[in-house]
Amino acid sequence: MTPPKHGRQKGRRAEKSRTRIWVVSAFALVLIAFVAWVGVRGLMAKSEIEAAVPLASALKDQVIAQETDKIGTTAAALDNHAATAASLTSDLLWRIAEFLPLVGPNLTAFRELAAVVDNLSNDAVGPLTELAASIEVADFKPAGGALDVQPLIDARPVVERAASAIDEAQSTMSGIDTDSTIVQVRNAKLQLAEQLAALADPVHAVRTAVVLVPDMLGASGPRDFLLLFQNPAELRASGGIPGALALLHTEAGRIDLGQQAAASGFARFDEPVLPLSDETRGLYGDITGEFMQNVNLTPRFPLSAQLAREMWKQKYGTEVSGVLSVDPVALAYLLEATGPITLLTGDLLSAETAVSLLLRDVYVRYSEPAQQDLFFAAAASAVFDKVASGDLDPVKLIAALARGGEERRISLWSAVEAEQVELLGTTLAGALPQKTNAVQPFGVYLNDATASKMDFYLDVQVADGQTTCRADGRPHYGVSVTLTNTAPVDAPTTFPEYVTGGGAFGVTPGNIKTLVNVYGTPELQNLGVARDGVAVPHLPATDGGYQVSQIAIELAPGESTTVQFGFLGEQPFQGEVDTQQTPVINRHETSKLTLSCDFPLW
Amino acid sequence: MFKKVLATLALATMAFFAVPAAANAYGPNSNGTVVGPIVPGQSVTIVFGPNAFSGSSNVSFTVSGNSVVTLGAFKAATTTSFEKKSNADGSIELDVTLPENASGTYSITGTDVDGNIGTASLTVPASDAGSGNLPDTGSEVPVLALWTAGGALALGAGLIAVMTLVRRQRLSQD
Repeated sequence: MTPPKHGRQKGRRAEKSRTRIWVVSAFALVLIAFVAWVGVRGLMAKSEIEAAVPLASALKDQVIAQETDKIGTTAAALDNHAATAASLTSDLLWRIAEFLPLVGPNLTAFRELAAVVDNLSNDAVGPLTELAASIEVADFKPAGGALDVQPLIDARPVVERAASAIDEAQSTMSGIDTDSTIVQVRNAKLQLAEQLAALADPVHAVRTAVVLVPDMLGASGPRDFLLLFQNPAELRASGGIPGALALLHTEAGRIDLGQQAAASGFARFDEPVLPLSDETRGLYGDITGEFMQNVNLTPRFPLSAQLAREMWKQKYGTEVSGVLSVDPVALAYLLEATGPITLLTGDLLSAETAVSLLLRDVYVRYSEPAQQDLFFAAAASAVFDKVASGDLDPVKLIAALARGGEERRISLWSAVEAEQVELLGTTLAGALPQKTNAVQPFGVYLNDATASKMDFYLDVQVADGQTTCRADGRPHYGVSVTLTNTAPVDAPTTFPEYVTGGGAFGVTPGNIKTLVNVYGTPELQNLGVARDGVAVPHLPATDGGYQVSQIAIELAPGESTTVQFGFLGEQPFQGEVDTQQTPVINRHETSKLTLSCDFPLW
Repeated sequence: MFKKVLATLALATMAFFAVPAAANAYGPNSNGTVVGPIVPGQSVTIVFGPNAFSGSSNVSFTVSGNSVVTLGAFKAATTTSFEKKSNADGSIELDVTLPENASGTYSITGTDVDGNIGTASLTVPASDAGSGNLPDTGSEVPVLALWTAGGALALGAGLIAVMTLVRRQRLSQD
């Protein structure tokens, strides 16, 4: 029935459609193979990375525990997983798949993340663990008055390489786009960024140490440092008055304690020993550069250090190449590493007794400032001798130094510019805090205006917070400082005059007068000060761009007050508020402040 | 034994370094306060306390900031510098009137012939740039409203254009 013509046509059509089926199925097959290839490799890479994560934390524990026999194996396994993951995600087909819509961005981000992990494993984790296996913590223990700095010098290239690998990884990470990826990839990036940040801080700290310590300990020539012993019983912005001073001489890893002096032995200089900015003069007065007791009225430790250095030079002729500052609380931390020390006076100086002995009892026992200063100097040199002898627990020593630095109880300034640049990145520099994308910092700096040793009895509680009340989204920041005079009510009659100040500066004996300075970063606007909820007169000022409010607070024994400082932010801010403060004797954790939109300062 | 050494050394040290308490008056003091809120168009008082400057001396004040403020008693004079005599105890009060368009931080520095210095910085907080009625979080709604309004406007303009054309055509046909 059907004409043959038609049949031929039908046959041709059938052939055509058969070919089409073949082509389509071949294409489908290739596509399936392609998807399977990329998919399977993706899954494999994922499990490689998942296997690497616990190894990284195991490695950290092994390094800390000094399990040198295990470190090598763990590091090799980690490296193996990282390398496999990187190669699984970087072949041609994977790269082609990256051009696909929807899936592509996920694959790109995955490949880039795997590459970061691999590079880190090669250039940072591997070399560092090898280094950790070769150095023992005991190497950081002085022996016979000297520290062998050669291991530190030898470690420099490895640590430098690791630090720059981490920097590079962090900058690569910031370029990895996970905006259009699935949540798992985005989380993987966040996790890696977190790990990286946790790794970056200690590695940078170690880098700073291996770069600075050998030269500061005189590895490339003898050095002289001025040691300021701060006394927080009489508060200054960076701690307390530098009541006792000493020279430290370093040479080839050896540290010797030299000439000692008391701040009270420095007469007033006729004018500031170095030119001061109008802002420093307005906020703290010319006395900042005229009295050794006042060099650290300013919270800028580099400035304090330069003033102290110049005063020492004008009085004794020696020009030091750096200034180091410690307080008795940091000394107490050191005593945890050395164990108790018996002083020549028979007193037992220990982590538990140091603070009360040095900041309270000494004033009750010795009525003359010069005697007190000698006692401080004797105590400092006894601790120094003990540390230098190497009779201590090195792990605890490092922990003590780290804690002291973090709490701003240990500060360091170097006259060598390259060293100072390194220091500025650390907590030891004692510089004003810098704003970052994650942190809006403030500074609470206290200066005693009683001219007494009453600050043993000053309780300081700092709280900070932020709130958004404005339609333009600019945040309000609040920093509150609660001061309490904890001295007994009979303090005016029972305390020695040297402790109360005896009213010499117009402050009733027993009272504590404090100048509170709160610093906000330059882009903020100063909204003023409220005391116990009411806006009050105060001194608004600027210091090198920073917004400052200063207020004087005088408290009778038992009295307490809360002053709150307000600032207006430049733009909406999602990060944390962090307030650094003068290291008072009993330092409390900064608490969080709940701010209401209904407040007299805004 | 140490106590004995200590006592001897203390005496020696004292002999060398003892200075009268007054000469060693190292205690710091806050030398200025600003009284009252800082509001454009209003005046605020800066008080420098006793000993901030030399007694009964001429204190010269200068101002730096975004716009010119009015200092002191000369209400008419708009100036960036001003001189005023301190009180016998070295204290001084300065009235500062901010202009209506004041913004940002104004730094005021006073100096006397003896080189004493007093500083204060007055900051006028930026006024809220957001429109007060819009909630911060619901920005999609106003944007949508804006587009709708914009669209209506374009539609209206188009309609007017068409109507004009039609009218012209009618006119030319007539």
